[in-house]
Amino acid sequence: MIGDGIRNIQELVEPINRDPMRGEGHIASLTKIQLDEISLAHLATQGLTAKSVPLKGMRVVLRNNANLSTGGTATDVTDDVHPDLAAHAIAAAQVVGLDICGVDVICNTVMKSLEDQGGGIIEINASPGLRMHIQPSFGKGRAVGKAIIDYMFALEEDARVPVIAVTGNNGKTTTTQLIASILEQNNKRTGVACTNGVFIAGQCIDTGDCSGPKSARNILSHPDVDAAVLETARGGLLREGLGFDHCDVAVVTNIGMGDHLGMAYVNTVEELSLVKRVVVQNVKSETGFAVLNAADPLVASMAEYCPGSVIFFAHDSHHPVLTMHRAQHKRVVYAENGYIVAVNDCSEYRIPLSEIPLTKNGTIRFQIENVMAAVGAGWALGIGWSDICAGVTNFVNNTQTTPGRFNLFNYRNATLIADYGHNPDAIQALVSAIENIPSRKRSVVISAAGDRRDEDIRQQTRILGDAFDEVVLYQDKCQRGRADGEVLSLLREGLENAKRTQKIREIIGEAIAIDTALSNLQDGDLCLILVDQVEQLLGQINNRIASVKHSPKLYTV
Amino acid sequence: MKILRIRTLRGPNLWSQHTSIEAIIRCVGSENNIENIQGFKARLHNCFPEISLLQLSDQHETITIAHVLESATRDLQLQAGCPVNFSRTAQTSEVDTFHVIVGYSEEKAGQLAFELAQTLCISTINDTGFDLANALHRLRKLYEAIRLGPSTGAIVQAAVARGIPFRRLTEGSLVQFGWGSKQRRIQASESDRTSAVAESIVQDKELTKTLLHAAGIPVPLGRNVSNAEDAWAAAHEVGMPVVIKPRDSNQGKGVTVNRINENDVKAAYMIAAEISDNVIVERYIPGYDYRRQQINRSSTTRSAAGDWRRHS
Repeated sequence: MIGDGIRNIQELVEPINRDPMRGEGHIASLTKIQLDEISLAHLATQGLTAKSVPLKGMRVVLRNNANLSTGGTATDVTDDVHPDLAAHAIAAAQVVGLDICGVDVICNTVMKSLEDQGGGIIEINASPGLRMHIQPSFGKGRAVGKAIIDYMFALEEDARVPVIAVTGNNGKTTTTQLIASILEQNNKRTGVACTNGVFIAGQCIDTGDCSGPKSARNILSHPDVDAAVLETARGGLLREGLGFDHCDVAVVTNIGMGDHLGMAYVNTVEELSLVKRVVVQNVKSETGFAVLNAADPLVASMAEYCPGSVIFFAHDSHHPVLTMHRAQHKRVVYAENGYIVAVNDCSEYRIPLSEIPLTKNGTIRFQIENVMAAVGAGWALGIGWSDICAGVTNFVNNTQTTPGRFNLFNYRNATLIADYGHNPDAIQALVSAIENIPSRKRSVVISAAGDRRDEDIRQQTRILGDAFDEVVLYQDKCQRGRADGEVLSLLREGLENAKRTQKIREIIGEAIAIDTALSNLQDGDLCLILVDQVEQLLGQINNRIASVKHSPKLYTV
Repeated sequence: MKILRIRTLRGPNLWSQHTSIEAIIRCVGSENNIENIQGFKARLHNCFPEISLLQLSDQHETITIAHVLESATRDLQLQAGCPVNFSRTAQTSEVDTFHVIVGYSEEKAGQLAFELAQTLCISTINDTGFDLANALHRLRKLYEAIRLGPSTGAIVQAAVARGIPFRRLTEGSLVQFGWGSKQRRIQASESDRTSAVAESIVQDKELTKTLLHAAGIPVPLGRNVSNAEDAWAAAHEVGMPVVIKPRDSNQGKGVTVNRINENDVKAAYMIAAEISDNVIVERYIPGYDYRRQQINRSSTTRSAAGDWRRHS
């Protein structure tokens, strides 16, 4: 600084520090000048203190270094640099082997080579500060942040991996697994987060319900993930929002009559659909797709909120939403004459249902819907048809891949179905599915989650009462806030006008209920078990089957 | 005012794309219309003159304490320099119960702003006074402490401009860009491919100069010295004037420049020796300090952004 013959050093520093450009530490573009120990020591070598009054025009050196962090200034000189000098700086970084560094040079001018003026490189800094380049005190700022990003990610390079988010009321987990199967077929190491856990290229790395944003983030942080399929449940979305900013494909399987209504200030199916719609609203604009169930009005209405394109699917090729979409030259998927058909203006592709074991030769309607949704997602991602086809035809659903999702067993020549279905839509879908399975007598084992509304609990047995001969109601420890016997009595109320049910049993304990149902099974019977403690009970069922010397034979059409 | 629930929405959500604090507020008594609380509005403007309740009235809604909480949480952040892009109050299905959603740039700053806004509301109702300056100071200080520094911030901004997702892995400067197998990381201006060996080389200034010199790059020559006598001997070898400095100092600590006589050199040695056991004497180069920001060691792909700075 230059003296004025009036003010002392401290008084000279103060007005400079009042400059709004100067802040504390590294935050502002300049840092305040500090008369710290180093400065005071340096002043002492010149015979000065902070209270000394330098003569007018006298140059006082406050410190020997010019770092911004101790109050220095920076001037951009980039456009003046001699090419030989620049070449030396580049070579210096190469010699030490740093990809990002600050090269410190001392010389009189950058307009001449170092050799011509006796200058030199004095040091090289790893992790250099960028502030002086972005916002120099004088001259032009340079986009060094952008230069670093462009170095780390080449311009044409995509830093993202494809993200497929699957939401809806029922069918999310199976659809998620089907899409993963298509991606694996396409040689993508796929990360899957769903209610069965987190899987990376088929390897389970976490268990339990992993359909929330935390699991999504874990997958997106995993270094071995080339594509991510994320079941996106209502709970996590409400609690914390999505675990990603945009997705390439959003799949909404259905909303139907809804589930979890009356919880977390979501009281109607319309409100529930607003929650699920968030996934569609965050589809990548232009290149992204939403794959939507055309037959579910609340799902179909999400189309207008999608910033990307839409693929509709429905069983019925003549469904008005589908017909309209097709007339607009857009993509649709439907089921027709034993095939899943994917069609738009310029192409048509068919997959025979007979080759998709999950659909049991096309007899299980809700599984066909799941397959259509997965086929739509594969199509949206631009995956080749042979991989899409192989992905769905090779998919096996059993207690390993999709525990609690329509697992079929043969027990003493009776058909046993275990499913996690726990809302009226799911139960209706199961009833439609078993209509196609020949049986002598039908029985069902059911409880209900106590946190659902009274009406939703009654509705479940109302549907079952018209389709099953025997109903085993049970109560387990997991009452979710209900009083003893409350859930059972609601279930009983649902059976009051049952058209088919002849016999109702009430049992305490899920395991005992299942044992009771199994003990009464005879040749040609069918038994639907609505499991709650999935893993435990599938184990119980498998043990039961093993104990009667029947291998746990899976149906494979 | 009863707070039934507070959530931190860390991603796109029901209300917006923005990271937000979401609370469910039940108004008690006359809190469902602040016009009915004697003197409330005047006291509020007195406590926090910058609060903007005007935006609410154009929806023809009554202003409830929930609306005040929303405005206060937003405006406290804005006044403290924390950018906020979104806020909203929405009626729930229950009487006098509202969702209050306010965006944030830094989660902890958003949470603190929400707490301070509650205090503001309660103390305005009870007429117990509110220290606005202190509240803003706390908020500003917290925000400055946790927001990204200028170097890391510039890199993150550049990523956002290219649509590259980022995620802070710590409250410091460790950031992940991209997803899955495409991800990369930085820590301030170090990349995940910055060589640890190269870093240890540049830590040693004398070694660095030796390597550069061997590659034909001009450097001020010098050497390590073991005592004051040796420093003077070295000064003769490299030629006057000289710089005497600790081998691994930063920010110029213990550095003495432009010395030519014996006493000065020896005195400078003592100063440097206080900072480090390893002291260097090297030839003094007169001139300015220049810094080149070098990105990617391959000269063919060197960054188009020029990047020389002169320090003074």
